[in-house]
Amino acid sequence: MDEINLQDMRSGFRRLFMILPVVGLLISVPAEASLIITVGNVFSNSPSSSNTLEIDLTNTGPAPVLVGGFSFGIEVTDPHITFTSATIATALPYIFAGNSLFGPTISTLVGQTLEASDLWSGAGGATIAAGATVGLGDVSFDVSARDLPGLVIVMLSSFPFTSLSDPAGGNINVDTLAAGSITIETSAVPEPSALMLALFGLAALASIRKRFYM
Amino acid sequence: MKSSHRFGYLGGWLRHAAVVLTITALSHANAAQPVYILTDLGDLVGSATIFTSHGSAAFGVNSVGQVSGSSSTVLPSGNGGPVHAFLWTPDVMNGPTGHMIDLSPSSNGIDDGDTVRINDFGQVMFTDGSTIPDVQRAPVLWTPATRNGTTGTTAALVGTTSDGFGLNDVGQVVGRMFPGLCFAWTPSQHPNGIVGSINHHFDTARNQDIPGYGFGACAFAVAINDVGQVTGTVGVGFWGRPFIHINDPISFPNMGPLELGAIGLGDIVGPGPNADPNDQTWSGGGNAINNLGHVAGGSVFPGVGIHPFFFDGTTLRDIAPLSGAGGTALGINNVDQIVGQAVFPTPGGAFLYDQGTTHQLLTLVESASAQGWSQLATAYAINDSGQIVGQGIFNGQARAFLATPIAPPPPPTIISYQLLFGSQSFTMPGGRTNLPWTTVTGVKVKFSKPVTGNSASLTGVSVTGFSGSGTDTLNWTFNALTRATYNTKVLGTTANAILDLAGNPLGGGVDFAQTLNVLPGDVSDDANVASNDSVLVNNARSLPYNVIDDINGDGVVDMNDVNLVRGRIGTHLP
Repeated sequence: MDEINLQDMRSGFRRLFMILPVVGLLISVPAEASLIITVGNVFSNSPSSSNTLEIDLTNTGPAPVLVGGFSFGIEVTDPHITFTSATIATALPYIFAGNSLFGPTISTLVGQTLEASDLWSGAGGATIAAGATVGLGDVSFDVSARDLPGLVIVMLSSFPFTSLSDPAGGNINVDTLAAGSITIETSAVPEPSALMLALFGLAALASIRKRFYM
Repeated sequence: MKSSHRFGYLGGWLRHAAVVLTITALSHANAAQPVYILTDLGDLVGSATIFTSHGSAAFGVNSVGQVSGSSSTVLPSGNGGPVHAFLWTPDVMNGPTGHMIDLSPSSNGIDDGDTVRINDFGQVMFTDGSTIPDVQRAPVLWTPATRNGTTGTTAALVGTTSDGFGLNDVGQVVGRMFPGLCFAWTPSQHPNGIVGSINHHFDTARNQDIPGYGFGACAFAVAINDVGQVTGTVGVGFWGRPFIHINDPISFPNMGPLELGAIGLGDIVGPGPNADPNDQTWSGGGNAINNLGHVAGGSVFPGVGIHPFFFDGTTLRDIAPLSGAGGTALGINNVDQIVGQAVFPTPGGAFLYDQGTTHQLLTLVESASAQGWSQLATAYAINDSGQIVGQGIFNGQARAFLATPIAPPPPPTIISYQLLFGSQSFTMPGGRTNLPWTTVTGVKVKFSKPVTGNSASLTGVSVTGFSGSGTDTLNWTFNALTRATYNTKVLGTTANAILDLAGNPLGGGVDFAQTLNVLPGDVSDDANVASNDSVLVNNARSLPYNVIDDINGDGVVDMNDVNLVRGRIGTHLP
């Protein structure tokens, strides 16, 4: 297999894995859902460091929501991924921008599992308008060397790891925890046998996803 | 007062034996729990000087605590006078204080002091020595004008020489009529009428109906219960045997003549009827019978001599406190508490048999010696409230006593169970299910009274330190509790039980359980540590101090507490 073909394949992967989470998101969100916490989908090389992944909060409900604190936990099972920190430097406006109690670094546990939390500094909280999306954290991670490209699912830990609180300390129900992914790209040319295995695996995955969404 | 005829030859021997054995008693009183207070019932007004040999004695007590008894008097010359019957009425029902009246002020005195009985109406039956012409002695019945009143009239029951021994609550009397007849007297106006008649004789001929006692006679009809069952002594040759008359008992309103058919108690439990009139085995007599038909008395038990017995309707059992020592039971109430006289290692033969144990009554009295009581010689009767009457030695004189039960000292109880963390404490349960602190290192328990205990008296945690034994507050310490559920117990059982200084266990012998759900950070008490808990503690930094938010127990709610919660987000109890 030459480099061109490999590049074509990577392009196909990229399109596939950018579409799949969005499709999955649309399918999994109940019609009456109002709050969704989402893990981003990113591509990273292997090996690499200081990659970033964003955790966002979307209010899909009809009314604004006042948030006084939050926490989230994410985890991967792939040992090549190591979360190193979470900060308030999100691409979208940070939820407590200008009023973060713990920022800029809000992580409390790093590794294959990351936990982070922050509180609104002072009285009150952040208003998340209807339809708005805000950032909860910008997660940095390293990818260690691996032979094959691949997809690593980033799961959000369930309550009480991932939680929202109103300014009075009452729990706010989060309707959906949407997983994200890290697509690992490798620069080394894989052995033919390894490449065949990867192709079989991807073909099988595509087949499963296709059947699932039909 | 002369010796009672009630026990006859058997009772006289019994009493003599008991007194001798009491005098030669051994040592060391039982360390029983004080549960009674004593009242000196005194003597009749105007008779302050009493015979040193026989002052006063109480023989009956009814359900409201009225007491019947006898008191010696003194003639104007200073010589000993007749013995009078008295009625002592408490100031309040079953109270320990009251006043005494003379029921026979104009007579020459009663003839048999041991037969002054009282029923619940307040009637008093005693054997008068002079009121009936040409009769040496005969039972009379004093009836109050109103129930439990202190004014009344006295009526003679029997026109021939006789002794009255038993009186029930409807006013029936049983006793002995000379020569050799037992009788039952029943009021025609019932209950508690003052006119009646003897409607039955237990005579020699009729006693031939008693299996195995064909040659016997009713020697004494001693007691009758409220349904007309009678107990006493039936003569068998030279010896008497206890009996209970259970066939067709006298009863109201269908009162009729007693039918014979009494059976000897020995027939039920012993070796059976003994035709040998000279065989002493199972000799004895019933002295009291309750409304259950249960009998108390004294009987010779094979191999051990004369002992007090309790017949529960099936079994006649020896209730003597010591093997080989004599005694007899004289009273029984409707809950099968029995009183009488028996030999104990220390002076004072009055006993109380209760729930299988025979107690020396004096050991159940609080501060008896301090009050002037050196011994309680004989307990004659007990009512259903547990009040006991008898005769004891008060300041060196024989005096009637009333022993009134008092509530036993309450066992120690737990006033508060506090958790110690940092410099703070929290009283459990405090409306909480989960405990949010990271530094729970001790338990401090306050009791209702000083107690003793040890490090093992608290279970469920690994105790490393203990203090406070002998005070009303005990402290246990341990390493800081981590996230888990701890089922602690403050013991009221086992050898490590908490005891008060009198030896009573916690709660009367019940463990005190306290579950500790330690979930550091869960200030919201919802069994999860989430961002809302950190919000609550963060908010609490600017609020008045609340120990719930003081996660490390250092006396202030600050960012340290917020961070302690934050670091535990996501945790919950298993």
